[in-house]
This record gives sequence, structure tokens and C-alpha cells, in this order.
Amino acid sequence: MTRTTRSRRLAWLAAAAAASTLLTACGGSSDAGDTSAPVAEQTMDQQLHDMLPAGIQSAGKLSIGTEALYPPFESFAEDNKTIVGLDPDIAHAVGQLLGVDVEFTHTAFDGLLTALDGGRFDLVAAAVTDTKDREKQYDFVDYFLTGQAIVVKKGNPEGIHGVTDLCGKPVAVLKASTQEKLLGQFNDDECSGNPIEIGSFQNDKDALLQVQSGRDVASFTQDAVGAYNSATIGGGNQFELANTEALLPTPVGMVFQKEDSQLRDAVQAALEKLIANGTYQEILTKYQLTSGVVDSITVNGATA
Amino acid sequence: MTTQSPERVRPAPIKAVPVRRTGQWISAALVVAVLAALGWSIATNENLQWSVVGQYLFDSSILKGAVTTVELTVLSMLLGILLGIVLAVMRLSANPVLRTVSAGYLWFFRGTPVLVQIVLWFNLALVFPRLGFGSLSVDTNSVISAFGAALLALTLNEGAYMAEIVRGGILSVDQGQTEAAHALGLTGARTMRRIVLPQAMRVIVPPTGNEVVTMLKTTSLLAVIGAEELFTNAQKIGARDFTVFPLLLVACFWYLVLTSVLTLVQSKLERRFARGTSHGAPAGPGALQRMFAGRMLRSPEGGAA
Amino acid sequence: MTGTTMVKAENVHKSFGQVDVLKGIDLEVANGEVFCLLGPSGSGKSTFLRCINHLERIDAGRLSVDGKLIGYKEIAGKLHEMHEREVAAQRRDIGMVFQRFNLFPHMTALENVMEAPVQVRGESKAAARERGLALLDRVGLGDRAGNYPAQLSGGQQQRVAIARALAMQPKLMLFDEPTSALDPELVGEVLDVMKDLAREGMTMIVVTHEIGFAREVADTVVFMDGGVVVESGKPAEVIGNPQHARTKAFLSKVL
Repeated sequence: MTRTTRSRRLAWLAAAAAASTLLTACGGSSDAGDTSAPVAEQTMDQQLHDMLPAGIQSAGKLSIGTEALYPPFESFAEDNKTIVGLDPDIAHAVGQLLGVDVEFTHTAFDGLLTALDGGRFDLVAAAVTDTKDREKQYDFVDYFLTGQAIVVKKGNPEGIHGVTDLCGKPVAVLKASTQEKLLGQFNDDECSGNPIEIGSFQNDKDALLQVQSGRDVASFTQDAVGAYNSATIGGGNQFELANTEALLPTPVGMVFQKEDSQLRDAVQAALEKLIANGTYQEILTKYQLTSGVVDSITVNGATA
Repeated sequence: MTTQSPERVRPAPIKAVPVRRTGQWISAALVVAVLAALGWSIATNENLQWSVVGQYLFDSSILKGAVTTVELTVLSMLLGILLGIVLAVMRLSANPVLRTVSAGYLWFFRGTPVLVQIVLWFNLALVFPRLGFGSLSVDTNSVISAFGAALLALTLNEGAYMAEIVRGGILSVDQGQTEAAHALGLTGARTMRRIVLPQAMRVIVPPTGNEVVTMLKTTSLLAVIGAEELFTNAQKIGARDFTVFPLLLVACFWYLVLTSVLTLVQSKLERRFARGTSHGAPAGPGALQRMFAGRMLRSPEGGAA
Repeated sequence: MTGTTMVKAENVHKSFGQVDVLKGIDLEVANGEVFCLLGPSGSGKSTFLRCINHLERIDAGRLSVDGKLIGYKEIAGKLHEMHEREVAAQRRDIGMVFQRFNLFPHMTALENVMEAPVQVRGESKAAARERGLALLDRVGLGDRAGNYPAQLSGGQQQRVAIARALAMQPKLMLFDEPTSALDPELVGEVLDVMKDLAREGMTMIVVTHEIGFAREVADTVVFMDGGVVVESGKPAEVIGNPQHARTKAFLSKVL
């Protein structure tokens, strides 16, 4: 399926700008939107179920790895046991269509793919960005389009407006994320000679803490997460997005081992059905993440 | 001129003016002032969000995490101590194979960071997808859960450190004890169990207590494999509403509480194993009494002699 | 004195590394005999004593107790090392008292005495306790049964050590300078116990500096120096009328 990157980018830019202004204008104290609203229950589709590998069918469940410290994609509910967010909602809907249970397990972000290799999970759903490098080792079923964002203290005291403003400054980022890699690339291009001091942290919130304490001037994160945090933390008065332009949009996908192509195809088909019956749109709207909507589910759609 | 000295009348007791400890009082006052200022600054600091700390201090997820932390600590220490004793005895054995195997084990498990070991055991399936032989094998991942990997990593790592502590304890027991036991006809194993190890415990318990206290905190590393212990659960709550720092304080509070309890248990154990020596039962005045002993010696009448 | 030999040493040699400590010891100790070993430090007397119950392994020669080789067994003319368990079995019949007592500090006096009979001979605790109390009585410490070694004087500790060794009902008792670590006023009580033991006919080999004891109690006195037996005979001979220059020199310094 072809689409011009440029027009896609422009559409995304408009949507992102609208979304972030909408979110920051909200200024409410709690989560954006009613994220506790249940998603429409799916009925099992026998055809989809039969696409599953025999092992999964007999096990009757999908084991999914995630790092639930990343709202609105995944985080822990009040009981500190149930994982909620965009990814769990989508995954549960997929599971219902496929006629299997879905079991989420939380572990550290930089350990997810290794655990996938070891067979501990059937797939990883942790808002993992799809990149050409990662595609060398894993398969991605892309279900969301994200961009990158620079999160700074409210009021933007350092006057950051783009990547070049980060050169020579300390920036916080999630360890082993695509964003960390991108910062490294900036240091080779835009910031060569005056490199960004990259601070990598165990989870995204730890990185954000460095912005709050002033140790880092900004945190470089996924656009959806950055917008969510800016809108919800401290009633929207602690952080804001520094960039007004879209930054390097990349697809987000569920991650599969290369040899699990059968499972991958079954999940892709299920996701396609969720788009077709409107549930996909419903879920994205629930989390106010419609900026990342995709028309169709691709496999390994990374361009960078 | 009698040769026998007469009985002397006992004079009034010595009433000397005590040394003025001005320096001590001044430094004590300074320390108290600094601590008070620090305490005030911390107590009134808004960034610490004390209300959030209070809100989650007794949260059920935090308490459950603390219980899991204790479980992991106790289990891995018990197993680690047993393993350590075995390894120490092997290390001191006359059998060169046992000695070498033990030395090799110690070298590996003390030579790699415990964090790395935790991640390795969690991902064991990468190396051995199945454990066992042929049809009697099981899927590695179903056997080794996060809790299982945690227990494995902590126990095997602790065993190595305990081995050296136990070995030190065994070596500290006088050679004559072993000779006397052998001379009586006790075999090596009996001698070790009944004569040497009980005496070695006196030397083993203090550093072991230290190891337990360390293990309590080492369990926090298990956050990297998502084990539901104290630190992980605090982390989860903190990430939800960006109350990261207050939840860290909550975790600190419970680590402190647990450490204090452990320290108390340790001192009780030390007393028990010091049975039969001068350290077994405390004698003489306690610390408080000794501090004010100077006062007590001064007579109420006062005045120079 | 009966004629059977309890300990027989034939040309026994022992070295520690490069140092030759025993350079050919020939001795015979008869059953029921009190045998005293005298000599300067470094003469090898303690080492020889420790060879008798295989705490030290001999390098050459033959050493046997009650007719059986110690630490080795002879099978078809070849010497085989004994397994640890077999050595332990041999040691059951040989009691040893050490210079520094070596009582087990984490056990009471009575528990010290009971330990070996219960653990090694499998006696019941009740029987061992009864015999233990009787033995402690015999060495004059019946009222101290519940005390820990740290609560006893040196002389008392050594007497408990003797009771402990006797608890195994040994055929032979070895004493390695039993009073050398004691204050002078405590020596007498230990020697008294040893004298009683001798009177009851126990075979005793005593390494000691107590010449008075040797003269009074010993049946045979041996003077060792430099790893060899210099002179041996009845006390009146060796101590009263030494023949060799080295013996004379030693005794003149000690007496």
C-alpha cells in the first residue's frame, strides 16, 4: 500500500498541532477524556481464530510483554495490578476476535525484546517504534503512527523550539528506545561539534523527572506520550511541548519474532477487522490519540 | 615501736571537680542545630509532596510489595547460606575436584554483577529453551517465572558470598578443636557439624547479618524483570501520576523499617551463638549508665576537700 | 606388669618438609605401663606422640598399637593407606589430652564428656550422662558438670579433658605436656588425677617437663633429643644416674 510520505507528514502535522493545543488547552487535573469507559466487546471470528498457530490455539491465550510505566499507552490502574491503556484495549479486542485470552506481563523496557527472543512472550505490545534496524531482527505489525516530541518545563525557560536548540544541552530519554537512537543520530548530523548530552533512564517517567529537577533541559519522547504528560501532570502546568513542527514520524507496532509469521498475520488480520468495524477508531478516540490513526495495518512499514 | 600497723580510719571519699566537657556540649549543640535545620527544610519542602507520601504509605500494593521483598530476602538468604556452607566445605576439602569446582563457582558468581545475573536467569530460555531430557523436559519459561528467576539469581549469587564468610568462620576455629575431635574418634563430617561449624557461627553471624540487610535492598534490582516487590510496585504507582519521588520516599520508609527489624534479629542471634563466652551475657552498666557515671560519682554535698 | 606390648615403634621417621623431626625411633610400651618422654623442645617428643594416634603421619618405619598398624593396613605384603573412617575407628581406643586442653567451648563440661560416647559409640544420652557424671566425679568435678569451659580454671579444664578422653574407655592414654599451660598452683590437681589413673593400671604415655612426676610415677623414662632416643630406662637410672652427656646437660638445666 503506497502513500506519499510527504502528504502523510503534513496531515500528521496538522493533526498533531490540533491535538496538542487541544490537550494543553484542557488544563484539567486528571487524565484526558474518560479512559475508564469500556470498549465494545468483540465476538470471535472463527476464520481469524483458525489463522492462529496450533500452539496458541491449544494454549488458548496470548502472552504479551509490555512495560506499563508509559501512559496513555500502558500503565497500572489504581489496584497496581491491572494494566490499562491504549495497548491493552487494542490487545484485548484483538484477543476477543481471535477467541483467545490475553495475558499482559510487565517488565523493564530494555529487557522486552530479549524476553521475546527467549520465548517468554508471544509478542510485545509496548508502543515500540518500528525502525529499519529493528526490522532486521523482528517483525512489526504497525497499528499507530507517532512522532517525536521535546518536552520542556512549562514556560519553556530555555527557549527550545527545535532539535538544533538541543545541541550542547543535557537531554533525558528512555533507555534502549528509538528516541535514544535518534538523539545519537542528531549528534552525528545537526549537532556534530556541539553534541547533546544524552541521559538515558530506566523508564520514561524517570527521564521526565530530570526535566522537573532541572538536571536536563528537555526529555525526548514519543509525541503521544509527551502530549499526554504535558496535559495531565500537575494540571497541565508543569510541562509543555517545545516543538510546533512534526518531528520524524514513525510507525508504532506490535513486535513478533521472525519465525512467528503465522501469528503475526493473524494479529494483522484481526487489527484490520478492528479498523473495519470502527472499534479501532473508538479506542483511539477514548485516549485522545486520534493523531496517530492509520488507514490500514502494515507489516514492517518503517521508512527510517 | 610496734611492728603491726594499726587499722587506719577510712577518710572521706574523694570529691574532685569533674573535667569540664565544654567541647563535647558545644559540638553536640551544633549537630542538633544542623539536624534540626535540615529536618525542617525537608519537612516543609513542597517538591517532596508529603501528602502523597502519606496517601500511599500503607497502600495495599506497597504492603504486598514489602511482604514479597521479605519473602525473597528470607528465602534467598536461607538457601544461600546452605549453599554457602556446602561451597565452603568443598573449598576446604582434601578432594581437588571439589576444591576446584567450588573455586570456579565463586569466581564466576562473585565476578559478575548481580543485575546481570538476574537478567541472565530471566532469559535462560535463550540458551536452554527446554529444561530436562527428551520427553521429561519442561518449557523453561513456564518453570522460571519472574519470581523464580529472582530466587535463582539471588540464591546462587548469595551462595558465593556466603561461602567466603563461612570459610572465614571455619578457618577462625582453633585447629586444636579439630584435633581433639579427631582424637576422640569423630569423623570429619561429624567434627564439622558438631564442633567446628557451631563455633564458626560466632564469626559468621555478624557479616551474615550484613548480607541479609544488603539482600533486602538488592531485591530492588528485580524491577528490571518486573518482579512485584517493594520498589517495582512503588515505581508502578509513581509512573501513573508522575509522583515518582514521593513513592521513592514510601519505598525508603519501608526499607528502613525492615532493616531495623533485621538488625534487632541479628543482635539476638549473636547473643545466642556467643553462649559460653564472655559476650553471651551482658555484664556491667549499660551505655546510658556509663554516660552519666561521672554524675553519679559526685557526692551531693559538693565542695572541695 | 603383663607382657603384652601396647605400643611398638620400629625405626620411625617423620619429616616436615625439609626438616627431619623423627630420625629413627625404636620404642616399646608395655600394657599398663606409665611411659614418660622427656627432652628439650624440638626434640620430636610431641610429634612422636601425635604419630601414635595418626594426628601426624609417619614417613618410614612401623608404628603399631595393640598389635595393629596405625594409619596403614597391610594387604598381601603391601601397605595401604587407611580410609578416614578406619583411622577414626582406631582412635576410639586411644585417648589424648592436649597441652591447651582443647575443650569444646560451646558445650558444658558434661556435654564435652558425653559428646564422643554418644556420637561415636552410639551410646544413649541417658547412659552417657550417667557415666559422664561419674567420670567428672572421679576427677573431682562432679559439681561443675553444668559449667562452660570459660567458667573453669585451667586445672579444672584439663581435668575435664581427661574425663572426656576416659569416657571412650580407651586402652591407651596419651598426654601431650598436660600441665605446661597451667599456673603452678594448679599443676598438682592434674598430676593427682594422672597418678590415680596410673594406679588403676591405665597404659599412659606422657610427654612432660614434670621431672618429679616422672620420677615418682613412671615405669620407664625416655630422653629424646634431636629426633632420636638418647637414653631410656627406669626413672632412677635415667633421671638419677644419666649416662649420656646430653641427658646430663638437660637435667642439670631443669632440676
